[in-house]
Amino acid sequence: MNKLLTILALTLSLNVSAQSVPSLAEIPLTMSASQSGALTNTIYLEVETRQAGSLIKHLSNYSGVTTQQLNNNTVAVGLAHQPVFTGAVQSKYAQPSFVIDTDEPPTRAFIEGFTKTRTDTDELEAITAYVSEYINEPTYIHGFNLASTVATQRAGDCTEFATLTTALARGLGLPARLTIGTVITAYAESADAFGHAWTEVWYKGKWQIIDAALYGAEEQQFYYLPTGTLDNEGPGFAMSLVMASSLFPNRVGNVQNLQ
Amino acid sequence: MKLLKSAALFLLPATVSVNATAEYLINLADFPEWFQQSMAREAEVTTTGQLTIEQLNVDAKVKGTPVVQDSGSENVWYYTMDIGSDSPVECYAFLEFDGVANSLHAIVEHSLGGAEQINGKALSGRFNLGLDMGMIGDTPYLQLDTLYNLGEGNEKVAGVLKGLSAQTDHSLQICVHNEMGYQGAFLDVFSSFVQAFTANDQQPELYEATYRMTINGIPVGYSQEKHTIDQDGDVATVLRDAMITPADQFAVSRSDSQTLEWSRPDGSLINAQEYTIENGQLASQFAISHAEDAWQVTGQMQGKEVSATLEYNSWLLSSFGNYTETALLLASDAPSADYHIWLSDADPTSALPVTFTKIDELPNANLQFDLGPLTLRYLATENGSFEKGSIAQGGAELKLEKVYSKGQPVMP
Repeated sequence: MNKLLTILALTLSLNVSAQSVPSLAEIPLTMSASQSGALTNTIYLEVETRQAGSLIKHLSNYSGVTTQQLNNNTVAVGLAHQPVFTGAVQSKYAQPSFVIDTDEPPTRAFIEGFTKTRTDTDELEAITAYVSEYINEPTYIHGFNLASTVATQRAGDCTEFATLTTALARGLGLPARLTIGTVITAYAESADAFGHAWTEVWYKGKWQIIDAALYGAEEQQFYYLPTGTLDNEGPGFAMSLVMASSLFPNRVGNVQNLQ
Repeated sequence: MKLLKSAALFLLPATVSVNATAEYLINLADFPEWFQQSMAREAEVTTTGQLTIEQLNVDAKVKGTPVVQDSGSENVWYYTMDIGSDSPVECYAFLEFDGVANSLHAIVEHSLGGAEQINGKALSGRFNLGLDMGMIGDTPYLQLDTLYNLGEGNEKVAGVLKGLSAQTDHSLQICVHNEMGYQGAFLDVFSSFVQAFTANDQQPELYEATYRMTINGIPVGYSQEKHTIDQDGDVATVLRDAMITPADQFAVSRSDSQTLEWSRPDGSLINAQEYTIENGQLASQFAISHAEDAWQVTGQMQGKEVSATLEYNSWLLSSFGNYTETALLLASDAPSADYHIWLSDADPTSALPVTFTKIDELPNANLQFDLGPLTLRYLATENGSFEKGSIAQGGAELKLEKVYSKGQPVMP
């Protein structure tokens, strides 16, 4: 029963998404009745979660996001497109690990492939575009693959995109960390929410979000709500994913432009 | 197969129970009349034939008159069986295999390739049509039905490939049927085929149980446990988990894992070995044992070696111990009990603290199991056996429900 519980929980934790929304990663979302037209740069939403206090504490490490606990299970959130992590740059964010294994031959070869073909475009843009193109078999079937596995298989969903992006950034000497959370996608008159993974890179003196899985989806607007990071990049990384995804919203409601 | 009108393939992200065997992931009512009628076809299989495989100790009468196509080359036995439909049911027995979920998917892929060849048209679309799990006696099975298209434009045709898979004690059985409808007849033939492999099984288990797993109502697999007392009076446990999870409308992820575990009668772990195969690849393989006064873990994950000595060096709760300690807690005045467990899926390099707490949410739950941020509320009987439980995470709800058990999780 213990093993079964873990398998099921991991199945959910890993069921985040890439270019479209698989049903298991989708988080119910309702727009505010008063909202009309497109969402703007900062939005208001009410997040229903089983761990309101933990979510508020986690989001306090970000600028571009404000929180207020409405009741035991609901947090009012003001959210910019890309909240900025305000934490320190730790040495581990620049080093190879079991998961972000920039020291393994397949990952090294992948990084060398980038350095040989890099252009003069913005470095973060170039990293994102390269990973987006390199993974040529987007699929949701994988759980969570190590960077060397992704570099070999060239397949996966957002966790694989984020793992390889994090590896490439570190390989180029940029501190980077893999982040888990919820992305709200805004359309002309509506929005949806889904579990997602992306990379935060220390670049030009601040943490910046890059997301190879959603690269090129310019017709949509994205709002990133981080709920955790892959703190444990060792063989026990799965528990870290479970911790991060445990703050996923049960539902998101009353979405509207922040007044 | 018939021509499929283009408007037919709108799939809905919900399960729809029908009076067949699978939980459909689409709503058949959205499909054309001819499709619905084809899907409703049935037949009664009245023919029988002898199935004999000496190497697997199989000699039984089965439904559908098996015709041997391959009799054990490379440890595979392959039969066709007429059930009165245009296409026969095809059944395989494997001595070497990845597992119920992975092998079923592999045969589905193989059969879709065969459909391309026979029709001279390329696969142009595929959709997850139905998923389910069930029991044939004490043997759990998985079902995966696939709706597919071959060809393009006016030449496009549609088909339904049904697949069933079960693991018996020494081999794996898979049947597929490439024709719409005949759900009942197909299951009937598969059941008969599987029973031929279990007819001579001895069942010395102290306790065995199978649990059905669902995510948001979608049946995604099962977990089977068999606990046996060995000659030393210890408990040998075999755990087999098989899952087919819809990743999107078109693809499924597959996972099979097996654990062999020994524990003492008091529920403490002696040692364990386990492996997991995901999407046709060996994802991980671990062993834990107590040596040199410490818990030692060896193995590999995604091809990378893992070796660790656990910091924790005391009593670890085994799978069988779940039952014994649950029974003790329920019989005591204590509100809760704390243990450490080793779960390689979560963290192979650590012993994880867990807490069992009495709760009063009858009839659904009387206990709560906490592992880090995970909380499972479940119902257990006084002998400790797990009946049903659920975990909520994000927008999803996971449910476990016992669908079969034999014996008691209690030492004689």
